[in-house]
Amino acid sequence: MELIIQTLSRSGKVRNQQKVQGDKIKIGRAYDNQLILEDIHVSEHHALVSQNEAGDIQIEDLNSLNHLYTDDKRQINSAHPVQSGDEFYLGKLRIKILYLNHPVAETIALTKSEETAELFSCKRFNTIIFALFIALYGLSEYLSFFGEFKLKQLFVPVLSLIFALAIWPVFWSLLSRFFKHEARFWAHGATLIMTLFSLKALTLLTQLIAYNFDSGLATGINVAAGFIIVFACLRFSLYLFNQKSDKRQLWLGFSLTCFIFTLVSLNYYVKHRDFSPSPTYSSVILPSQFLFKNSKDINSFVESNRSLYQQAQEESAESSDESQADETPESEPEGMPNEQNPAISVR
Amino acid sequence: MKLNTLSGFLWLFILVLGAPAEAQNNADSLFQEYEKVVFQVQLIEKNSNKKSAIGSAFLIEGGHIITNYHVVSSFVQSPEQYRIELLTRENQNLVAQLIDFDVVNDLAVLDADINPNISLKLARISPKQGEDIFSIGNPHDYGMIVSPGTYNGITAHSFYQRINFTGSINPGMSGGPVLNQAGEVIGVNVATAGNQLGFLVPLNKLLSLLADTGPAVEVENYHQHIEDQLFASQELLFTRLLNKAWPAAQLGDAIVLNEIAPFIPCWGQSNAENEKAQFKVSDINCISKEKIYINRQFQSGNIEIQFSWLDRDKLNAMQFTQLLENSFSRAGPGNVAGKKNVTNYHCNQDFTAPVKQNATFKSTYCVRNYKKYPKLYDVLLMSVSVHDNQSALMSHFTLSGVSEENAQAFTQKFLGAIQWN
Repeated sequence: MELIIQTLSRSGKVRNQQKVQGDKIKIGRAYDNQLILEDIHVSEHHALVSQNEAGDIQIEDLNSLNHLYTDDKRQINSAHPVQSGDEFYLGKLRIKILYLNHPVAETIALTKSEETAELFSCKRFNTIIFALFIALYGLSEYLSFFGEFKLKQLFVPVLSLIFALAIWPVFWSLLSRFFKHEARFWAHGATLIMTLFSLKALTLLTQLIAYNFDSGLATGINVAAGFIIVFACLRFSLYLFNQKSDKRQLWLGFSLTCFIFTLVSLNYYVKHRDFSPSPTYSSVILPSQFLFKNSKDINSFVESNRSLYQQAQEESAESSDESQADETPESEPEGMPNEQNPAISVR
Repeated sequence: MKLNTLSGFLWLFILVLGAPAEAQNNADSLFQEYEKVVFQVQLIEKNSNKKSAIGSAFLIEGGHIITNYHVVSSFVQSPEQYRIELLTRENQNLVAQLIDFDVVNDLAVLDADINPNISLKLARISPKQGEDIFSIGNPHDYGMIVSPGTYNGITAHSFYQRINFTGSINPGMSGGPVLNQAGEVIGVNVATAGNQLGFLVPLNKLLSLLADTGPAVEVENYHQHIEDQLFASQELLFTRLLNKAWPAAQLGDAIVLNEIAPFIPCWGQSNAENEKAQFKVSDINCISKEKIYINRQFQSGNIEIQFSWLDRDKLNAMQFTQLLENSFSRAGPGNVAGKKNVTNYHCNQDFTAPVKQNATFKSTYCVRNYKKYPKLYDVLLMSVSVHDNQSALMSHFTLSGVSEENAQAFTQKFLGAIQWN
């Protein structure tokens, strides 16, 4: 009789596996056992795996202190049949017994994802994109600053940026370590930087659209493409995390993305006020090279503004319908002032 | 009869003692005489049964009681929450009824059940520049006072027209009478710019309101009444503005507008003195200082026009557009207005060309409606040239309390006047 006995972690991962041979396989802490276990809750001679007259494999408790249990925590008092793949508890130590002919999982071919992961793990690639990222950040800071620009003013923002960037790969590496996966710190870092590059490119594109055409359209494109980019980023990070690319991972990536976008839109909704005394409009201005649209003459621009009056009146009518429901006048916000005085202030 | 004796008495003092003593004595006598016909107006909030605003008021010949619109504005806006009371010299509280008001000139006519044997006469002629006049009222609820000062004519650069009064007017005196040396009403206290600079509503505005005053305006017609007055006022204002040629001014390489009316004075500034500046900017700001007070959170009737010429100087093209973007994003209203009174702004954005078609402007035009006065709007335009990476012109105006027709005509005329050379 030849068997494979695995000791498992609480989450079911294989910690250790051993091929054991013999008619009677004794399991326990004592050195005369066929399978020696180090767990302190395991008795010196805890359990025995043997073959009965019919040739079936069975397991029995050797009067151990902490007993022997089946997978579903029922105590085993007499000999208990063992099928390949059955799990048992010795005290609280989990073991799995396999026959030699037990099927193994299919071999996974190296995927495109793995090639990318290898590239992303490459330190030189990381150094290049990181340097590029910092340079681009510095450049965009320079181009959006219209005072007297000094290089040293970048020091603090760049330092904080680097720390902020490190959070992502640190998070994933810790998570991977926790689940006993490969850490892949650099690959996670590269994933983040590539995502940020894509988002920046998207912002530039939508700015161009907002400037020339319609800011509503630009926002739509921004949200849709942003969703795809974030989804791709999470999907790949999950792959780096556990090297799986099945449907379940796809759904997990998708729901995580939805979750993030829900949080962002909830945040927008919470902060959004239904009245603003200032107008909201797209303020994007780009150099003349990026101007693609023809300009209107004054008359048609003025004429195209006519519909705004109607829109404003409609909003007014809607809100008066609402306010009729509660006609209680609101109290003055300034507490109890004792006089009214529109003091004309002089500038 | 008493007036004649009084003035004779005063003349004697001027001859004997000279000006300062004369002013003091005038004040004393005026006060003793007219304390009976000047009241404190109290706006009583019905739920708490306490006053929430105070002002002054006075009884005129014919039996009406006059105060400022802004003193009773809370009542006009929410008649079911407030009532108007007059506090007499004998510490008696009398309920007063609102008969009529003029929101544009900040006047209100009240009636109450009082029958004193005297009342204030309205002056027949307006005072001369430099003449001593006397403002009466109850500042900060400290009691009735007489504040002597000088008549300085109608305020310069003014459309709505106020009397310029050098003398102290303090909160709570609003609605009190201003008398000449003969004890006749020549105006009504209305506002202060601090530092002995006060403003009065001229008598002729009161006379025209009294001429129109008939039976009391129905409570449910208050909003309609305000809308009609605001509408008529902006019609007058914009007819005056639109029916004349607007003077041009050179700003950088562009032609923009100079003072389009005396009551919208222009001021200029530039950053030429700033040595560290990376770019050059010069501005023209034209702002009408006067606003119509509708309620505590709502003012209207003012106009702002602004132009900036920006030269990129040491900046590169990207930095320059960032600078423009920064200024372009800042268009805002020129008047205070809250959610109860106005809608959100609705905006339209496009590229526009001036008459000569030699430039491209990115223009944003925004409109909001007055919720209780649907014929009136606040509008604003923000426009920046984007065809040239070297320099740019930014043009902006805001109009408040304007009709659709006038706003459209103003925009047309404004855009037509701006040229790029």
